[in-house]
Amino acid sequence: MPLANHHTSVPVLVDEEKCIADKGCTVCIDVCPLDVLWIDETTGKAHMKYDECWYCMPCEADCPTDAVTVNIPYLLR
Amino acid sequence: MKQYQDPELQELAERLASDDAGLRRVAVLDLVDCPEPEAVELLIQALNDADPLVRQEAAKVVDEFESAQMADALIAALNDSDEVVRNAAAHALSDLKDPAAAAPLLAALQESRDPFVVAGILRALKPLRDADAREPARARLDHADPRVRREAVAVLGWLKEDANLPMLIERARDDVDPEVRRAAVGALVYADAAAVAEALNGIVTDEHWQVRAEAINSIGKLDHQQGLDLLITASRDTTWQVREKAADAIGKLRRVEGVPALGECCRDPMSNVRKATIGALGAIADEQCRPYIETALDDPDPDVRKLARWAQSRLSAA
Repeated sequence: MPLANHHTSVPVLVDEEKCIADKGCTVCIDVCPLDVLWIDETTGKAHMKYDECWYCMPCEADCPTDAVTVNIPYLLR
Repeated sequence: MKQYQDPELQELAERLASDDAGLRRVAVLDLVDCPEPEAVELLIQALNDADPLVRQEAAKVVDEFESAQMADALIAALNDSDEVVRNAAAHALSDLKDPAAAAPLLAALQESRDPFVVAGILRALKPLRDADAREPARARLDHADPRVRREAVAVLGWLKEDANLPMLIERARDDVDPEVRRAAVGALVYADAAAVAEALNGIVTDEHWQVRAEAINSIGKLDHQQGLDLLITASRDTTWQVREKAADAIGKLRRVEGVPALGECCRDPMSNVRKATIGALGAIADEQCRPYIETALDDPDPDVRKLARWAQSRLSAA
């Protein structure tokens, strides 16, 4: 069986220091057209649950604390 | 804490009374979507929050609400220690455009000393065109801060009263700040051309190009026919923006004597100048314009070529 031991990264990164989802903010989750952002039960912060991004950017633009960064793949830039 | 009938509003009020500034901040975000008219009260409360981040969040959404009800809160917010809040308040105040706001604004003006606040209040008063703003604005024409002088000039410009013209002319000619001079010369357009002609003649040679451009614009708007020679000189200005305005203004005066100068502008390296020039030649639509217009049909800039077609059709219609 193939083992995937390496760390994978998702395009939408949330800075947990800045994120205020634990205070009740759901801006990024509400604006995402693909519903791939979710609240992490353990930390209360937003994170990318499903790796299915359109790179449409409202999550990054609307975040009130600038906690969200979307890394657009090189070939799409 | 005030009790609200609407459960959604009550819930927001409770969150806004929380000890946690983060919770209050998120409550402000949700307040925007609340359709109840009483939501304004909660927004005003948030504008006065102890935490600057909550005030900032509230300031960002003030324009979503009926601002006439919160003129007082916005005036108070002009004194906020946080710049984002102050700017948002000044911006929202200038959107008020409610004649009833004039009285509280004038009262606040009397109390205010901070130049930023004074300028913000004057900017809000400007579109109300309230005659009671005349004296306070006149009194601030020689204020030490150029932002205040600029807004005072704008208030008088909007009032459109002949009695204020000498003061506006003085600002346009002698103010040390180019932005104040520019605003003042732009404000002169409500006058009769004869009343401001002499002043405009002096200002077209201002050392600052934006003031020159504005003066030229005013000459065109006022149809100040005696200004043609100055416009012809300005069409050879070192700054292209000034040349562009000069060409445009010559077109507005519709004077055939300006055609040779426009002919020179047709060879200007800046395509914007050529565009304004062809527009002016089309407006004049004299037979003398024809060679220049025909040459412009092959201009490298498509906008110039398009205008040249239009100018040509004006010639054949004339």
